[in-house]
Amino acid sequence: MDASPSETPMKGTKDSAHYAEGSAQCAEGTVECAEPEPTSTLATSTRPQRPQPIRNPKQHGDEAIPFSHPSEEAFARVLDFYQIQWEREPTTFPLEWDEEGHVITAFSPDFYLVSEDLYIELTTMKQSLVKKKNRKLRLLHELYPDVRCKLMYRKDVMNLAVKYGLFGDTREPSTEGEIEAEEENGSELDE
Amino acid sequence: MSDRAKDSPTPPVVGNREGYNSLVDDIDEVLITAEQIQARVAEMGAQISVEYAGKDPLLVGVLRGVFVFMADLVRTITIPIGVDFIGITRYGPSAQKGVVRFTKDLETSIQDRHVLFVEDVVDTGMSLRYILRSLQTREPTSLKVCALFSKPHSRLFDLEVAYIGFELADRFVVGYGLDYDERYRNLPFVGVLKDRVITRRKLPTGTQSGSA
Repeated sequence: MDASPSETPMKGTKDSAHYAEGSAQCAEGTVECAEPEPTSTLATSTRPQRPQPIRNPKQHGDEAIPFSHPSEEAFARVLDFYQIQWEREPTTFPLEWDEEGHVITAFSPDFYLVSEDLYIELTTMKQSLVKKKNRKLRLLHELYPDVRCKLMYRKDVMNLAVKYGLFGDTREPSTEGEIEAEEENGSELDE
Repeated sequence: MSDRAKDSPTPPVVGNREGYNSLVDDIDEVLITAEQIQARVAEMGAQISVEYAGKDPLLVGVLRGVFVFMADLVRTITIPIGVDFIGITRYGPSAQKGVVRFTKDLETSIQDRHVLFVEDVVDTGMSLRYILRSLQTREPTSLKVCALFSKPHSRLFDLEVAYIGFELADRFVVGYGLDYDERYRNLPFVGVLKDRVITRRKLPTGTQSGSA
């Protein structure tokens, strides 16, 4: 991704807000909140008072879009079929910063549905393995309360697969490498 | 129908039951019994009868999954109504490169009519969104949605469903008009298929360019 947060660190003001504390508001019917997370070890880090998302170069037209998983490609085809305008990872949301204000965790949802102003993140991992993504979703809702984002879990993806009889490779990653690759999907930065 | 048959996932099939039993054998779990469905449909029909009294509504269904629900629903409605159907292409292996389109249009004008769009199940809302947008351009007096089943956690679009029979968890279900590979529509209950029944198909490799 061209606008990788690691290449475009966002400087913030000194703010010792413990952003991992408290309960993040989960969008109704969209986010399944995981068990409460322990307070972030980055509680003393710096975060902008008004964090701003990073607009990634719009990916459309004839440019090849490197889908990172067959389920993403299949989902895009379904959207195309129903004439639903979408963009691929158009935005990166910085989520955590180090003490110098560099972004160390960010989140780039896989899809953006233009007409709905809705971001969608697909995951084919088992429910037990989506802790990191759930955490990112909570941070996203806390830091960007106006942003609507839905995490489609493996069961959601599987339901679409069965319904349309198309998705072939919707199995969850099983090896450590696959899980790591899934976690890093979409230029997401982790601790 | 005997009380025993009502409570059973199998209807009082007369004659050779072998084929029917093979369908039932594919069911892992019955989520909603035939009796529960019929009771709820009757409630919905009664509610619609009250709220649309004097409005001569047109019930519009989308083929094919809705035909069972529509047939039962209209027989519980006690006011004058009209019925019509549309058909749309369904996304699948043969439709990957196309876009959704009507395969059967309405035979009745809906302009200045109260339209109740009847759906079997609303999940992501992708097809419903397309249909409602199309129907809305025809200037009905009102346009509401009645769905027997709703999967709110699967919803991607904010679509208002005025009448909901049952809310379902995020599971793929069959029966009562709902199919898997065009089977199981004739089951009188709604259930979940056994894993072995669901065939995984290999997705073509390669990537797609562009966005809609």
